[in-house]
Amino acid sequence: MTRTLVALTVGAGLGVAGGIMQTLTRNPLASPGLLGVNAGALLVVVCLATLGSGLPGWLASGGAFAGAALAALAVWAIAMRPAAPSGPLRLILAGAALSALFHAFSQALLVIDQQGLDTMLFWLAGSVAARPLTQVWPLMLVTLAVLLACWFYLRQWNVLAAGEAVAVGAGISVRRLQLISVMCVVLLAGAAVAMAGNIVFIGLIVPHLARRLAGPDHRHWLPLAALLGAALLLVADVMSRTLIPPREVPIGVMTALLGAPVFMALVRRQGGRHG
Amino acid sequence: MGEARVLRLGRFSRVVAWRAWCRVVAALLVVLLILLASLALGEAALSAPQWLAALRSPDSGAGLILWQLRLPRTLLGALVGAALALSGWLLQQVMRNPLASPDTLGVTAGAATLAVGYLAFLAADVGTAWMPLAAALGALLAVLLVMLAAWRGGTTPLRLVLMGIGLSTLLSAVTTFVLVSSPLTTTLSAYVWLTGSVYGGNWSDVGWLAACFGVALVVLMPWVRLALLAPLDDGLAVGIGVRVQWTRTLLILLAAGLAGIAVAWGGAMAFVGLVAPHVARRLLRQPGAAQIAMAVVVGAGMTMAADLAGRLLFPPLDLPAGLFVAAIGTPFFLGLMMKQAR
Amino acid sequence: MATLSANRLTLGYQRQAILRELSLDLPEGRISVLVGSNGCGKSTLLKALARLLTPWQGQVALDGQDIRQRPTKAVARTLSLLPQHPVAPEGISVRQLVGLGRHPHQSWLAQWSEDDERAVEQALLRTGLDDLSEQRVETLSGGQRQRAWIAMAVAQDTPLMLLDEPTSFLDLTHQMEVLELLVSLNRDAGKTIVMVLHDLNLACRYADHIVAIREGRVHAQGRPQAVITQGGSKRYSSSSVG
Repeated sequence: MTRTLVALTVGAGLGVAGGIMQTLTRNPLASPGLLGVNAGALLVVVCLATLGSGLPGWLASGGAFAGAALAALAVWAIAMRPAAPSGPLRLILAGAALSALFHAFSQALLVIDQQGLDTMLFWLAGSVAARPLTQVWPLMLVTLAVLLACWFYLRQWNVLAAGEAVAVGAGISVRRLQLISVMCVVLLAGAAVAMAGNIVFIGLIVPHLARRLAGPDHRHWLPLAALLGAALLLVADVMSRTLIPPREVPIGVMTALLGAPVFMALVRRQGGRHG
Repeated sequence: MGEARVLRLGRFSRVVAWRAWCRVVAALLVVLLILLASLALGEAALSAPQWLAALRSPDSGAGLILWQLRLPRTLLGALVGAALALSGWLLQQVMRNPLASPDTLGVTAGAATLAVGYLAFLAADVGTAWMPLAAALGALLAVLLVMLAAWRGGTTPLRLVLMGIGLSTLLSAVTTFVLVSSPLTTTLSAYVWLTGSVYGGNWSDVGWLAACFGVALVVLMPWVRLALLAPLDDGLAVGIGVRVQWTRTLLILLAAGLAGIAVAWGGAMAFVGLVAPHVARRLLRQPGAAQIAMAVVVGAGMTMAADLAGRLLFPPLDLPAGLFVAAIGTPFFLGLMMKQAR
Repeated sequence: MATLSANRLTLGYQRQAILRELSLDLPEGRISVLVGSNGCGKSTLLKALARLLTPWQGQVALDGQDIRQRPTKAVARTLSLLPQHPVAPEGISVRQLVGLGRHPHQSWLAQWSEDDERAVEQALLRTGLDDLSEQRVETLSGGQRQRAWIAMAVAQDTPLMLLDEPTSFLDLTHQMEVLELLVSLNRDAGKTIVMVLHDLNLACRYADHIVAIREGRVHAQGRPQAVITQGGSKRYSSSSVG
């Protein structure tokens, strides 16, 4: 039961976080996984685990938020550059390099501190496996609260998607909206990592599916993205348990196996246009 | 051109940026100093006279440490760094983007997947001797897959990078799965490999890697000129008679091969490939053959220094060099991005 | 000298054909200008003429021979190309940029011959960039930069030059300056010039030969006055500006 709840909240959170990032950076390939937000959260969790082995749950969660914020800050700095010459490529490359660096750092720490290895693999692989409800309910609440808060910004995001200049013209304080959006992303992605570790591709693909189904209006597709994300992660969870029966495939691996081909097909179909 | 001389001899002609080459030589001297330090320092530090004596008598205790442990290990580090740096430089050139690296094309992830799979499933039966081969094979397969996926009547840098990232993520998930489902000892040795280490490098490793690197250099020679033209957009390049797709494919395969062999022996410390070319470009602004040489020298120096630091900083522990590469690389890279963001 | 012609050319992007069975002979030693409304296929045609695009059917013939059958480097010694928004590699100086144009004349053995040096010197003089030759390309103004690109094509030393909107993003004075430069290259050096222009007035003023493209076909061609009074003016005066 807890497991299902975790899968649902994490999926919804990641789907929406990815959607917001894509609107914010006006880059259809932005997502917490690709831009290093997940990796940042992971790094801080691993760091904390290395420092003290008996890690209280709330500290790990806080660490995940801090790491997500750190990575988001770096990504933001790149994305908000006034006239990025090579557009989408630059952002994606920066994100990829960033998450690779974070991952390497995490790995390196694991080599030094070998006791933490087994628990840390849990974070790296991503898992919604049973954990006491007491440990995850605060994170679920955070996710739900942020999702509800997002409801109020749907119209403003619609305007922002049309361009910053348009948004300013429509009387929206763009800087504030951007800041709020980044905070939403950090909270959603941080909570997701704290609950379930490193889960990739949900944040990237779900918004695309939602937009295809519901059209470009944020009021329609962003809620749909939450639903789809939740549903998709649940499906992935079920598959991860039933694929090789005695064993369980970590859900992060499962989403990667499902998501990467979809992503590559997506690139093949439309990637050429940016090139 | 105040900093360059033209050399002509019959039909043979070259522009030699001599001042740039002077800087390369200076950097090379620094790297030689690191090499000497790496030979002298370690768990058993040697004073200068002892060191000289050990150098002359390879069979003494100190001589054995010097000739059989430290020298091959250091040289292996240098070669790994050099190959990665060259690979990174080529890819950044071909992708027209200073943020590209052997990671972005799935080279590292491919090597890691096969290497870890080898450790988990085969090592118990056949030993670890063939692991470099598995890693190199993985790197090459991954790149071929990426090129194939990105090919639609030719490739573009954007499609290549995106496919590379997609495949990398997929492969690292597979790697993680293998790690999770294998016993803890395998996981540990796999992690040391993933972090990147030249611990226990011996002369045969050095020989193999040097041979591979040498072959790659010879293959690269006639293509240096075209590698320097790679940042031109396709229209311009075709306009001056470059076979764009052919050149791009060849250079990428060459870069992948270089990174593949480096990763095979040194583990996944591919950041050298990201950072060393940056340092080289900072030291030599003009793109040219000298810049390539500089990247190679810087890469070699970086890994040697990282390996040395791993041995010296926390004495009883011998930490993998990749850790220090990441430790220096992360802040450097973040700083670089912040600076570009302004 | 060199002649360039298209022979029943059909090609496009994805599945949509942009050019349909287009045939065209470009007069030697003249300035030909391709005009037409946005999306009519004039840029596509230029790219096809420069072998950047592979035709689905038909062929482009350089000196009567299929351009795709000849080694691309040999073609580059006959035909130079300036694409629409060229991007210079970072940190490169004007002289180095112009030197890139010498690539088709170089080999692994001979990377900087005396001919190369002479050609670059002359190209710099011609385009009035000899004083700016050591400057970095990024530091140049728009007009100077465009001249640097043209200098690169000049250094390539080809009888044929193709240019895709060489005046875009320039103000009127600099547009005229660039076009005057091309005219002088045509008159003094006898180069055949083929370019795409979106401004019909400038096209009429500087062209010897105008080719009006409409919906992937040659709509009209000939001397500027003839083409414009042929009734094309109704269509182009409204749609070509901007």
